[in-house]
Amino acid sequence: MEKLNTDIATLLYSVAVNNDEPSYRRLFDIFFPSLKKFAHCYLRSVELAEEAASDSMIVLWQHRDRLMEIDNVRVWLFVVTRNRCLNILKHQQARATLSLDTIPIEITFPGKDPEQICISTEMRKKMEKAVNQLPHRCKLIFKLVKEEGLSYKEVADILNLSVKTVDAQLVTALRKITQTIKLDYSL
Amino acid sequence: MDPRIIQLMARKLSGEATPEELEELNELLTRHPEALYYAELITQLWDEEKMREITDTDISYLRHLARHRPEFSVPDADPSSLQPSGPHRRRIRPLTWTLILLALFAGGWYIFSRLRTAPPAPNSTDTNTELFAGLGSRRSLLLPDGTRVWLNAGSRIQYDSDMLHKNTRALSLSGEAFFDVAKDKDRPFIIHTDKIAIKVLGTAFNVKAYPRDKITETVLMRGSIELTVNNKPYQKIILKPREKFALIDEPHDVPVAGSSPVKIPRPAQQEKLVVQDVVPVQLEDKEYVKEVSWVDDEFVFQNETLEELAPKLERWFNVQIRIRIDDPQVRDYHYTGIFHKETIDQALTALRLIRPFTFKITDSHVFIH
Repeated sequence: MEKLNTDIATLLYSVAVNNDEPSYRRLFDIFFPSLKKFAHCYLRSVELAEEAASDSMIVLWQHRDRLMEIDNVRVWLFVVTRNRCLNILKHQQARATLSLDTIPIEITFPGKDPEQICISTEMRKKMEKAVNQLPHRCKLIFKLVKEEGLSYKEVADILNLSVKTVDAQLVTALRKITQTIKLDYSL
Repeated sequence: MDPRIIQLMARKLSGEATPEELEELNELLTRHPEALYYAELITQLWDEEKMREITDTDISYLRHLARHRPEFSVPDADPSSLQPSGPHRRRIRPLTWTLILLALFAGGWYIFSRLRTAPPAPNSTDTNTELFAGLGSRRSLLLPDGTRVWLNAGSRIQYDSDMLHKNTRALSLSGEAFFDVAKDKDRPFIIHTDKIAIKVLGTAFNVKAYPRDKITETVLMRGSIELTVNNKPYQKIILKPREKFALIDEPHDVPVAGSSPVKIPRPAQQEKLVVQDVVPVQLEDKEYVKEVSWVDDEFVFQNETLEELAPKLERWFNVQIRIRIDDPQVRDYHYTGIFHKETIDQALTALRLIRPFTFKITDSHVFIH
């Protein structure tokens, strides 16, 4: 992760200073898949998510002369994407109110190495189901922390929440998983 | 369970815990040993997603360029774009130019990358030797350069018996084989399959490329290999020991959105590239790497349903298997185990002990119900 961050810093520098398109291409490789997945959580459409992620990436290129002023480009890109998604949704839907709680999100535990200790496929399915029954905001937070490796602070910034909320929501998710285990093994 | 433990676990997993909190968690866990099990399970669930998915961004990036082309074009070269945007005529020209430039760029890039990385065209006359392992049999052989090859059931290799006098040691494979490649720095060893090509200097690894399988797979045991997918020769994937590469064909189900100015055709099939760590299977205190155990005449399977096992059993025992099971309890049960010298009869009898089903074997046909 640290090495990746240094790489990103170097790439950003050469985009900002030299208008270097190959470096931009590498940044695209690093961020685009995550942004697309994130956008998909909001938009529920592969095409729309791709467009939203694409339009967010280009903002980075458009503002390349000021990139060095951005504190955390990863978070910044997520925020740009979030805003874009919310905009799209606002235009798309007559429904005026839009909260995180209406977004359907899927979480999967791919689980390719279950022999370390026995998490059986059946067990995994149960836990997946449990997590997927959580409120949507909780799921999105779980996803961002687990799958994108973002910190509490970063997630809080992206979703416009307090760090405390992120902490609490993650605890909710873990508690749910714990309860599933408890039921299954009747411990 | 102590809610504080869950809170501290959450912070630990997300990397948010302070040293004091970590210490507190350890202390709590020693005082509540029953919580240790949960902690272990949750940690595992959290960490297990180590699959490094190589998302193919090439097409995405081309679409991105197409969508935002004006941002990248070199406006200085086109004086018309310097003037304040005028009537329609002015507007059309830069766009046309952009399209032509893009087409040239894409075409040039394609040709260039083909020229640069395309392996020396495998002349068909070069592969004058062909070896075959029939269904239900496995064999090992030594190539002229000292490389040892194990061929799994239903596999075929073709190579040039005169390879020592060529610049490269080229070989084509259909099916599954394990290679222990003899070191020769001056003559890279190149394996061509239907979907991928692998370049090595000296190492041991397994390649599984049965034409009918959806998945083409490579597992590296030692050394390092460089792998390219045939239809994207410019993207190279370097594999490290104990890593597994898989190329998975997925039928494409999403129609193209027509909003971008330039339409870039999507491939009819989407391919997913995945690199992940190889995790050995523990069976009776021994470790097996299921991807390569066949070399030792051991058929290892793990967490697979009868349906998933069937094609592998077919190849291993040279039989045709038909399954008709309605009970979901039996159908969805996942088996883990190992076969060594068993016959198909013994193998199925063993599986039946776990979850009851009946089977009938006539000649090379097996019915399971």
